[in-house]
Amino acid sequence: MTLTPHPALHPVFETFGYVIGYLLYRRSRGSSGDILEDDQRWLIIAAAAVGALVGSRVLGILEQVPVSRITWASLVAPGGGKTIVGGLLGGWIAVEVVKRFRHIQSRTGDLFAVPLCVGIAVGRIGCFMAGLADGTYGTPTRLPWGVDYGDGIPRHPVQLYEIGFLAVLGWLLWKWGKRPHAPGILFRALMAAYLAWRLGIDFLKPDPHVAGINMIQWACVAGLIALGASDLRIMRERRSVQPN
Amino acid sequence: MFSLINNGKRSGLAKATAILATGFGISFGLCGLNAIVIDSVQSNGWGFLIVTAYLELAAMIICAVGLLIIAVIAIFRALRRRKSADRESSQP
Repeated sequence: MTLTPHPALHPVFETFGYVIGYLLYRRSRGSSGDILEDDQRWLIIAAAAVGALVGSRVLGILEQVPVSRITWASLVAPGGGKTIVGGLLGGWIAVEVVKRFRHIQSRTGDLFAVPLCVGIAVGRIGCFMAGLADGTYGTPTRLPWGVDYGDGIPRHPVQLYEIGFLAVLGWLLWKWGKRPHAPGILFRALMAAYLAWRLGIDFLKPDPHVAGINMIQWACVAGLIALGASDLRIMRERRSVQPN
Repeated sequence: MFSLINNGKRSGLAKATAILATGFGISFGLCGLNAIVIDSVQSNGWGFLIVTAYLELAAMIICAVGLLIIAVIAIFRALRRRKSADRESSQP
């Protein structure tokens, strides 16, 4: 298959991704209710948006460390990329910081789990359409479904693999959300599954490596360790609350 | 946007921040690159997409300025709150 790249469609699909994700979040908040007041919820959303913006940019630039020199100017110069992993981790950290400052104890991410899956999947259509310019294509392959992004080399369409993965993950989380579940578990499951997926699938991307894996994979490893550590903390908290 | 900030509720600033940060995030990613790429797509009938490049540029500037204004308002509000709290605590 040969693709005619259209990088200008990337922001269009990215915008669709945000809009569809937000509409889904509104719908699930309306149907399942929210443990947070409006004020608190908007504060969480704002923290997530700013954290995602910074995180995606910083990791997007760090990804290029092995091949280009990084300056402070590269943080604010247009172009140069963003990454979903950086966005998720940055958003997560920012929300935890704001929750600590505002003394919000409850787990707040469940409402975002399915909307994030759908939003990222829609945004990935734009990454696929953008072709080589987006930098999210896969390594060369001889498999029959390899896609020629315009340079005459069939490559793994990793964006399409990810759309398929997110469709399955979103469906599973949606089914799980309909059953009784511990607060926060859906978001943590999304983070664990997505970070593990990226840790694996990024071996099919030609990004520059640092000590055997690329910077996004290192961020996934760090995120998974942080997730595991905070899971242990939650389990300890629950155990201490439960009567003997 | 100004009605969002001045709507009297505490969520106004947060809402505006979320919208502007998202807008900035979308527009910041491929902007600049788009302007270069548009040249190549203009010849094969996709020239209308030049609009997205200009939209991105406009969104980038508007959202960045908006975020700066919000930061200033937030600092101003925090200072005013602290002043009034000091005044209340100093009253006998």
